[in-house]
Amino acid sequence: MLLFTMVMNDEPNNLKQNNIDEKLFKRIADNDMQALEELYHLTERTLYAYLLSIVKNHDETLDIMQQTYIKIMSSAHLYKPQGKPLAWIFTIAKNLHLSNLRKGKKEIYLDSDEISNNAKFSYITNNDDKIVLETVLKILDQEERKIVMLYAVSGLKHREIAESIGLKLSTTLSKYHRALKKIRKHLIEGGEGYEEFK
Amino acid sequence: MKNLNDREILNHIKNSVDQAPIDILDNIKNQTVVKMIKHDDITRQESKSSKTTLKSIMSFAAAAAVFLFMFNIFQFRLPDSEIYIDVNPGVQITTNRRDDVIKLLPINDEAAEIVKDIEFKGKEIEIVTGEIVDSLIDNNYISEDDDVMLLSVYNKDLEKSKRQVREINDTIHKKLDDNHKNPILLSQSIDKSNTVDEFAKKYGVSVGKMTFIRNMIILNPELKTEELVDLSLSRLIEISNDIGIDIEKIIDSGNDERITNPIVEPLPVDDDYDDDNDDDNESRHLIGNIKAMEIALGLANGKIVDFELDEDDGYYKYEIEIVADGYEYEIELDAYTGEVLEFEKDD
Repeated sequence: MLLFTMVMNDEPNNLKQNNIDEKLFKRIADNDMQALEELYHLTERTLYAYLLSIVKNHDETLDIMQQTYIKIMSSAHLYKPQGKPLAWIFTIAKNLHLSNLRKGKKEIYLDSDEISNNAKFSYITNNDDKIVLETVLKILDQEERKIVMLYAVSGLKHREIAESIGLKLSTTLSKYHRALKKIRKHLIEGGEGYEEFK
Repeated sequence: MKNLNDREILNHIKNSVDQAPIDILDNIKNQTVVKMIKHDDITRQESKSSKTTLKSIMSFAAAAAVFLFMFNIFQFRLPDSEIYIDVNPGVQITTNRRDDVIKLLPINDEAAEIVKDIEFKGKEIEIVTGEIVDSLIDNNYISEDDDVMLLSVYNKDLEKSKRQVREINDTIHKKLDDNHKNPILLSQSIDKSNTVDEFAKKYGVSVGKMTFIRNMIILNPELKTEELVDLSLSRLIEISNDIGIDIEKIIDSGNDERITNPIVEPLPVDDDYDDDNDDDNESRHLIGNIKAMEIALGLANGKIVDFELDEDDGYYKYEIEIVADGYEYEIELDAYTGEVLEFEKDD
């Protein structure tokens, strides 16, 4: 057997993701507010991590999160269970972001790329926490950010992350390792970001 | 800033995100929600697999003959498999879903010469492969018995790529037998990764050959890409044999005894790491990367995705991650004794 073809084997599709029961969508469709709350609490930090790795801005992340949950409420009755509830939520969030970009809504958050503006993460009290987050947002590319942030925050396994963002497990893992290496190196060498927070 | 390990980095990220003030639930609950009649571009669920997509295209197509016609054209033009044949000239062949060739691309100048007279458009892959082998023989690229050919196939569908490897492999073998040639023929069904693609482009080699080199490096991280890319395939195999890489682990040689003769040699001991500082361990030897990989692959036979020698207070251990059958294994080995310190299966 070839060593490197083994990883290409199809993964089982029936994984629970972040333990979201797909029946929740059915209940949300029936205006069950408790189901919505359940879904919200299950996914809040995970969705935040996912969106923050895309837009790199706290306020914009909250804005799209809110739109995402509202969109779920208005379309939950159309949801077809495929065993990938989180992938659907991420898809909605990503599409909302793209649609906002097209509508030029981005202007509200003028400096979302200006990571040096530390007021943005002023709610983070521990300096090291803040430096690491800034580093992630500054030196990683978008896929690396998603992979690292989701892994750190969501408690999802690599294979679940791979499935929910539509990458292969092997790709996800190698990007994950490359990303952590980059972060470690950057922190040791003390990038510019570091000086500001010293 | 201080030197953080992976766990600490992840914890810092988690702490940051956990502190983020997210107070939107009440807002959401107070929204008046209008139920949508059907999915829009935002909420559309991605199809489970490409098969479903094709099916849905088909059902539309059934409604209109024009659509059906378009679909056929679409299907013929759409790339499906990528096939690489490397001797030292390297060619890339792209086929559609019906296994007809739609593109034939020389990877280097030697290859341009090989393919320049080959008519490929719409011909079956087997025919085109045969013509390429003929042309390679005519141009004396396959003459000695220790010439090496590498066949690599990429298709999203693993089963299909395996089948194609088998079929094209047979075609090539038959052609070679007809011409009384007996080079070493290696074949692999390959995975796609951006890094391998990038490197292949950068160094002007085929993705197939680059994959082979990548796998050599995974098995022996001391090898350097730059040093390998210019070498011929037979030289790469010599090197693998010299340093004790088990070629069968990274490629299918069809049990060619020129490759599979087990090389029983003392494992190279790799003591570069402990010559700077620590005194306790000076007299002790690390088991070496290759031995560590062998132990790890013995525990989980798959693909090594991460391999590191880690030092913690003068204590060395190998940290190895392997993906096998869709599971991720984390293995830690004592770098001196090879003792398994940790073995975790992540599902």
